[in-house]
Amino acid sequence: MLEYLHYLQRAIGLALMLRPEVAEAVERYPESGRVVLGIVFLAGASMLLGQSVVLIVNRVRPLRFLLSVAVNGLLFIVSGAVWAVALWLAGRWLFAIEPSLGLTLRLVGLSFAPQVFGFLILVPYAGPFIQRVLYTWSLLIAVGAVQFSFKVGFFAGFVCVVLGWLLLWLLTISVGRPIMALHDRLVRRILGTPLDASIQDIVAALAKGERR
Amino acid sequence: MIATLLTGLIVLTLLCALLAPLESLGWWAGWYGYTPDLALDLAQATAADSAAAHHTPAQHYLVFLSGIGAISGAALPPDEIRFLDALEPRLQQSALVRDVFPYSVTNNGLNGQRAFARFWRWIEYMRLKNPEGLLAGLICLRNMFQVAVSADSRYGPVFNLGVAREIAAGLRRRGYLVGSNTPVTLLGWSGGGQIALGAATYLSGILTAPLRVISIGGVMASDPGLPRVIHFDHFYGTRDYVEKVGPVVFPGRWPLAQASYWNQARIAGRLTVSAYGPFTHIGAGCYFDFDQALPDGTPYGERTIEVIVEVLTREGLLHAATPRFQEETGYGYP
Repeated sequence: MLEYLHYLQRAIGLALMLRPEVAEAVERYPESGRVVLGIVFLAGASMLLGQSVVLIVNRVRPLRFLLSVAVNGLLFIVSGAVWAVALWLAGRWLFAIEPSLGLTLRLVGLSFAPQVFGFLILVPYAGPFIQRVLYTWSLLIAVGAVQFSFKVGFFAGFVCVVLGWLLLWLLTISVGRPIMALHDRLVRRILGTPLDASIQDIVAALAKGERR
Repeated sequence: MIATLLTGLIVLTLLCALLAPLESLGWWAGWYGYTPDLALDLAQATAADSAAAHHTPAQHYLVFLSGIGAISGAALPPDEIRFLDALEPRLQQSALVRDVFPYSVTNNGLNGQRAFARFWRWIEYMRLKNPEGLLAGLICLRNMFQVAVSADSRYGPVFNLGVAREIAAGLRRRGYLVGSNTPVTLLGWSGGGQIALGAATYLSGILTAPLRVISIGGVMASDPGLPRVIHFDHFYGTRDYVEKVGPVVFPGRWPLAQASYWNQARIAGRLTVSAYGPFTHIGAGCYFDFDQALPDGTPYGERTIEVIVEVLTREGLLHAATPRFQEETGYGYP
């Protein structure tokens, strides 16, 4: 367990620094997939913590709150895999090289490393800026992953990421609709509340004297 | 050694930042065994005030919201106490509310009923022994993040609503009748400036009375509370480098952001910014310093009182000084 945590911490550190050794290690050792899974799970849990204001405002009970943090980690693994498949498909279409899907999955999983610090989004006032920094950082690592997988330059890697994102978006608004509906139902079930009110709505209604 | 110290400092700052919103969010979520319901509280307050309407309330209320150095509503830094003691007699028929702790949604001072109260009491004790010590900076750090909470669009609504309720409670303690339309002015110093604007968003709805805000060296964002106030006056000293942080870190105050609350209020003439002397933010030469004087002999603290009284007189909340008043008191302003 301790050894796993050590690898996890080291992989996060190297990925954050955009170091090529981490991509080489991921390519060489297929068992690195477990470490990458850990990164994506932690990123999911941490991002939910960082964005948990909406849960607290909607008065989600503490146990449900903790459960939703864990479930979000698992859901992040699923959405990360879909994102990697989209990149893999876009890359195959754009470039001559055809890397294995497994390698692309592991490399793209590394791009979630900055989001392990998603809890920092809680920082007052600077939080939304930190969120943008983390997303940009993730994007840069994803471009690096595409560069390494398909042996292309930065610009080609960037184009592939944009194309992958477009593909994902198209999937979400077409065949992905029932899946998204299922995802939303699952989240609502866990939280026990529809999360349909923003903080501004609730407080404004209270301040006007409307009972909720 | 230096690297360890720096790391420790960064971790401490991050911890303070991450914990900062918890008090207000927990209050909102009912973690402390009470779930706020403004509609109910307001109905009770209005009913109680109607029953007590035979009292003669003041004609205007001035609420002081202290700087980030405050530890509770009752334990203000000594220079603020001295300043308020000098200001109060000059307010004629106005009442001064000075016991609101603006860095807590429940008006609970750092030394009150809370988890780390012992720690804060110790810091307060150390500050009394050495007011310029580093430990006192912890109070400022803690309260500075509450200012950030107030300015944050995610946490601000909850925090500002809580503080607005506490201001309303402070006003009622001084005899204010909710629904009486008696004008109220919030006087925010340093971080209190942001909190005054933030609370104004909801206070205007609670009191349904004319509301104004005066900031002395305030560090404020372009807050949604601005459209809720009749006028906002911001005064600062030319040697105050803390105040200068506001126009830089809050994009809504940049001249480019013409549609922001700040710039819209400025364009509409409801926001006035004035440099009124060579004051610093804290320490010797600050806004509340009665030991240093301007070239005409007016002590710094006295000049700050003058500008506040000038604003209240301009707004018709105080009477202009009569020659007899000047002769009897020696003050140029009432």
